[in-house]
Amino acid sequence: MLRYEWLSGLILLLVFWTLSLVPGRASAEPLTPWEKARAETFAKLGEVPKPDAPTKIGTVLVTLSNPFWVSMKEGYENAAREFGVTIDVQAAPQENSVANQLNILENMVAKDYDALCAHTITAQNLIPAFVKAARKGIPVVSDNRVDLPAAREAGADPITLGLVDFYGQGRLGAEYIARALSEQGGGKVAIIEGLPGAPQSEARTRGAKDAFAAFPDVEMVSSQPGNWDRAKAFSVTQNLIQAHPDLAGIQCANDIMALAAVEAIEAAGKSGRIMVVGIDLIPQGKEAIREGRLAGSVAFSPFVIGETVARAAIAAAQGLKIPGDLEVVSVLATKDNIDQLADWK
Amino acid sequence: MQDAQAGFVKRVGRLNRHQRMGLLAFLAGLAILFSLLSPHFPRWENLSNVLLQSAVQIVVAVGMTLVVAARGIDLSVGGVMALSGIVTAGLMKAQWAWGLALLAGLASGAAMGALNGMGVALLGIHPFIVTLGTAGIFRAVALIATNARPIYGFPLCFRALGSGHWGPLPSSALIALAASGFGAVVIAWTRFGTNARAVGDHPEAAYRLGVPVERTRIGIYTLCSTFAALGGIIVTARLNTAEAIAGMGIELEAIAAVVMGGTSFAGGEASVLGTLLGALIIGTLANGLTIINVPTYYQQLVIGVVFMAAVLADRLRRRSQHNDLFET
Repeated sequence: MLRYEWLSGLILLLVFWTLSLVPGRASAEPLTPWEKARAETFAKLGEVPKPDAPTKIGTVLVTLSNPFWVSMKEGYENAAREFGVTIDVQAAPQENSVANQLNILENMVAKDYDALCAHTITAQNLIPAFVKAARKGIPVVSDNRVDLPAAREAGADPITLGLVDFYGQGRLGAEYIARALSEQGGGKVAIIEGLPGAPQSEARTRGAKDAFAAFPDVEMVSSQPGNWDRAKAFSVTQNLIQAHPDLAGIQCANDIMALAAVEAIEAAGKSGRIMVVGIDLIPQGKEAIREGRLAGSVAFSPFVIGETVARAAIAAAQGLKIPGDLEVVSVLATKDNIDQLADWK
Repeated sequence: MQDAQAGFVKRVGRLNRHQRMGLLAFLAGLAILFSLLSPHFPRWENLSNVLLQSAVQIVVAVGMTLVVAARGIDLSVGGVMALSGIVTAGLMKAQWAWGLALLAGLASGAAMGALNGMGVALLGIHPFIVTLGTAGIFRAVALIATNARPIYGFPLCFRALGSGHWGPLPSSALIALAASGFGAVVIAWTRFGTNARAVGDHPEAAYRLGVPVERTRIGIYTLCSTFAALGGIIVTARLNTAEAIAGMGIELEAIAAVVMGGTSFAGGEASVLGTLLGALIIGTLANGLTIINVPTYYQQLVIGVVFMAAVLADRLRRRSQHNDLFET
């Protein structure tokens, strides 16, 4: 009789195990912040029909040496799978390879893609390629970093999606630092910018400066370019710590530089005494926030941007209109909410 | 004296025709390979892009060839490109006519080259060291003058130099070809060019033959930097932006083209045609690899491998003629 009990127990176990393999949500689990942000962004774009004819899209990113752009590439690849189109993704070797990026896009224009996506390094460097694409009637989807008046004057007409509120990001991160410091009586802060002249760098810096200016007991002592580069940001931070030993907070224009700043702070033996906030929430940044080394990062999903721009390009290739003021959602990631952002990419 | 100098011309400065044919064949082979791999490559639109994208490299590499012929090297061409582009841009922003601004930009390049030449000729410091130092100085002056921010927005006529077309050919390609022709004529058929090659081949013998060694050296570096300035102006016109980070790494690309072209670093000989072919090979590789969708970091690997192969082929050719690549 005992044998039969063991057997029935085993069978019950097997049945439950099989049931658990059934895909889909058995109960209404809440969407993670990432899934919510993704769904919201797609809703703004509207329904994009799957193309009937084989469609080829070309994309040029900035550089794959920054995980931010690698994540965006994955977003593009995901969209390609979902919609059954071919998306060729290329990138320049470095963050500042302006001529190289132009060469790549020009070569892509010559390949007769149905639509092109371009994430420009500076406001101007891809305009000659946009002009060539316009002459051939190839729609180009880019973002609002492009100098649209200059592009139109040269004869190009790229579709510029709003995509990211860079000013708002700089402001969001800096306000977090300023508020935290203000509660403790104020303090000195600094800004590490990106590549001077690059639109997102300029906008984020302005946002940070405005945010700091709004708090009278917070004094901004320095704003220096870090060129999106680890080594540069490391030495800039070292110099800042030397020049201002009572520095209490640094707003960095991206995570790569923020992480380098954190390294410099730890190397100087000042860990925990200077708040550092970055932007991008790259995987390394997530780790650093969890470990308490990085105070926060303004997250906006490069994966979702990739998918969104890809969808916009697929729509444009089919001749559909695209809303220009499309913006992806940004979220401030800190120690408090980092666990909910595990799937943020 | 005249006979000795005439003998110099004949003996020095005729690179092996076979070597240049080899480069041409390799270029043609590459073009055929890419055409087979992608139907987009052989179209005129794309080939025109190759010329457009190689133009700056060609101009700078031709200048480098002249200096190498004189047994020198110029590592400061990137800084010269950036600074002369900024000079031109700044003057245009100050309402100068673009033609005058352009000439001023070239003159600034010449001045920088003269500095290099004087360091080498008058102070007697090795050109590698002089130009390494001035590379940093010129780049720093460019950064300081612009506060690291780019200058942009130039008149259409100026921009046409970089992105315009003359008939079917891109303007920048025409400028590059004209500059190559000019460089070839100077090095092969002018007294100055002959003197430069003589200095490169055997400075002491040249001195004893009455060649003005110091003046020639200053002159050749001035010429090289003027070419680099022209390159900087083309880049500024093409991107409609002048920035302090322009031309980073161009010195290595130029040297690669010179080496592939077969000009020896021991000095004394020069093949502008070889350099032109070398630069076109590199430009074709970069373009073709993008067309067949190879990621950028693989491109650098391929170009590096091709470069080593070309150097090896050149060395084997020379060895078969009982010449060593770096004879002193």
